[in-house]
Amino acid sequence: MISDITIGQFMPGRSFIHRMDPRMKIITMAALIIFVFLARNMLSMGLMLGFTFISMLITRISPKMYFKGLKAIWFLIIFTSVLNMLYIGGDTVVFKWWIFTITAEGLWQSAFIAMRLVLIIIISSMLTYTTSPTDLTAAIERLLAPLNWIKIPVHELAMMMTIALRFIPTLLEETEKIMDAQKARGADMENGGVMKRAKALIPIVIPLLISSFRRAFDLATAMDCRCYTSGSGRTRLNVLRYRFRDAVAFVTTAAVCTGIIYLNMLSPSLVQ
Amino acid sequence: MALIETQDLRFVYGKGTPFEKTALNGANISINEGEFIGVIGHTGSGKSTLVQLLNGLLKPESGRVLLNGADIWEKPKEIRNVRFQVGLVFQYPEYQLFEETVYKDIAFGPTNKGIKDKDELDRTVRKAAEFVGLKEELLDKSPFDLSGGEKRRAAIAGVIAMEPRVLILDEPTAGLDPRGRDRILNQIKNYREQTGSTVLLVSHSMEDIARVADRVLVMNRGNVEMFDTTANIFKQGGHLSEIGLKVPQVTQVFLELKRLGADIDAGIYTMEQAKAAALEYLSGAGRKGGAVQ
Ligand SMILES: Nc1ncnc2c1ncn2[C@@H]1O[C@H](COP(=O)(O)OP(=O)(O)OP(=O)(O)O)[C@@H](O)[C@H]1O
Ligand SMILES: [Mg+2]
Repeated sequence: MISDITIGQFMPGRSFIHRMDPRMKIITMAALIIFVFLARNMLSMGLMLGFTFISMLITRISPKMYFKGLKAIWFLIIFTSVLNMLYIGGDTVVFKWWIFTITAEGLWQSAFIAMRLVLIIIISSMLTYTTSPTDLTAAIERLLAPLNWIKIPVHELAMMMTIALRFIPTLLEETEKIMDAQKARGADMENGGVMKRAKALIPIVIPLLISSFRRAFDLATAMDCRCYTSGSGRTRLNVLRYRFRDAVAFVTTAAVCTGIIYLNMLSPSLVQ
Repeated sequence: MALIETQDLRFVYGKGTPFEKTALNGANISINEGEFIGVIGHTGSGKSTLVQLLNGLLKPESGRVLLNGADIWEKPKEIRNVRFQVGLVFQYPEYQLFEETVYKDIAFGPTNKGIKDKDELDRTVRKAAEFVGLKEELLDKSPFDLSGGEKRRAAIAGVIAMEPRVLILDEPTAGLDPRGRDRILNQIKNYREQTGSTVLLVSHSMEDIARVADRVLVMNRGNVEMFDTTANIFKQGGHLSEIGLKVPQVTQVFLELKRLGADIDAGIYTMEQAKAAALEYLSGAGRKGGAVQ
């Protein structure tokens, strides 16, 4: 079913990570993603993997959920790993057959690429799983506020994002309803060739578009009626505030990042 | 043999997620050919879930749905055939309209069913439009230019055009004004009389149910609470109000009269019956030389 899609899904909870300030979550997780790329040998990569794994446990969200997120891209992971394995040349040949040569360097390279992709997906899922969309956009708005100086309408962009995120579940639900209604009229969506299937989408896409426009107009009218004006002078219901736990998270992340740089120097680099 | 029968029908939404919800907990019902069934129940009691199970849009967690004595999920590949036989009109069906013209939209169902012959298709579409009272000139309009009530009727025609043996309507009168409601209800009644089809009507309005149904199915928290003739159901005003439902207003009046000591039949649920019963009572009471004060 469509409702099985988990991208960007928020899973409420009370864990340490759930309760962090969303700005600090974005900052630390962005830092971690950058350092995923800087980890260049097994020691530093091991630290990264360990830290991510512990964080996963702290969120108290079942690892199954994280692997569900990975399912969507496992093909990409395997594909890039295999390509790298075959293309990266090196001196230590492990295996040779016809025109294919696999070297130890190539193997390490592809292993690192796979680990990096997995880590990036897990870290970003951790952000969206533990942060409500409203918190997420509020944080983005605050973090990007300096851009107001160069006349980028940060508030409006954040508002658009909030609305878009807010309506994803609504649209999914509506899609399912319309699909059911057309199936009840005998629409056949499971069988037939590409053309037939594409045509079978028309009875779903058109009602969906129309109702999206109707919703957009209704929302705009409702916002107008409540005298919504964007930009300066607006206050928030929940003001974001850094707390002690955010300091803890910051220091821990900084320590991990420093550790990665230090460990990088201890043994030779395994990736180019 | 019953036309539709369910055996220990159970359905769970979001199985295996934190949001798991048992929407139907073992329903056993049996409906005969040609019956007009009213389905009532508090919001969230599982009415929509039940009707979607009946036409194979949802697959039961356990239990069976029998159509003409055969399990509808016996051959999952042929579930579409069940949907042509058990036509379901959804809550707010007007949002499913998509074609350029009303005519084409009504023809969507019969075309899927495999009716290729132009004349036969034309006959089916026009007949369906007539049943719901859509005027000829509206057929060439875009469905998006119709009024709310007309859209609703066009959508209902889209299901009737498949000529199902069982027609299920999930709150077809929700959000319409009293006149629009009466019209749709009368058209459904006429449709049933002329075609002899079996009809299931889900509604929150006891008055609507009282006017048209032979038997009433009362749902409560995913269970079938009662399933009996309309008169027998509405006699049990107390039981109904316990599960958050009301009897029609005229029935309330007669239940109250009975409570006050009048010797009167409480199984009254339409205006005509009320008039007859009141007249009979008054003449009878007059003979005895006394009246309820
Ligand atoms: N798609 C869904 N996902 C999860 N739960 C659902 C879904 N649809 C319905 N439910 C739940 O199942 C229960 C029964 O719902 P159902 O739609 O059958 O009720 P209903 O009797 O039709 O109510 P109403 O009169 O409001 O239309 C409700 O508690 C509802 O919250
Ligand atoms: Mg319902």
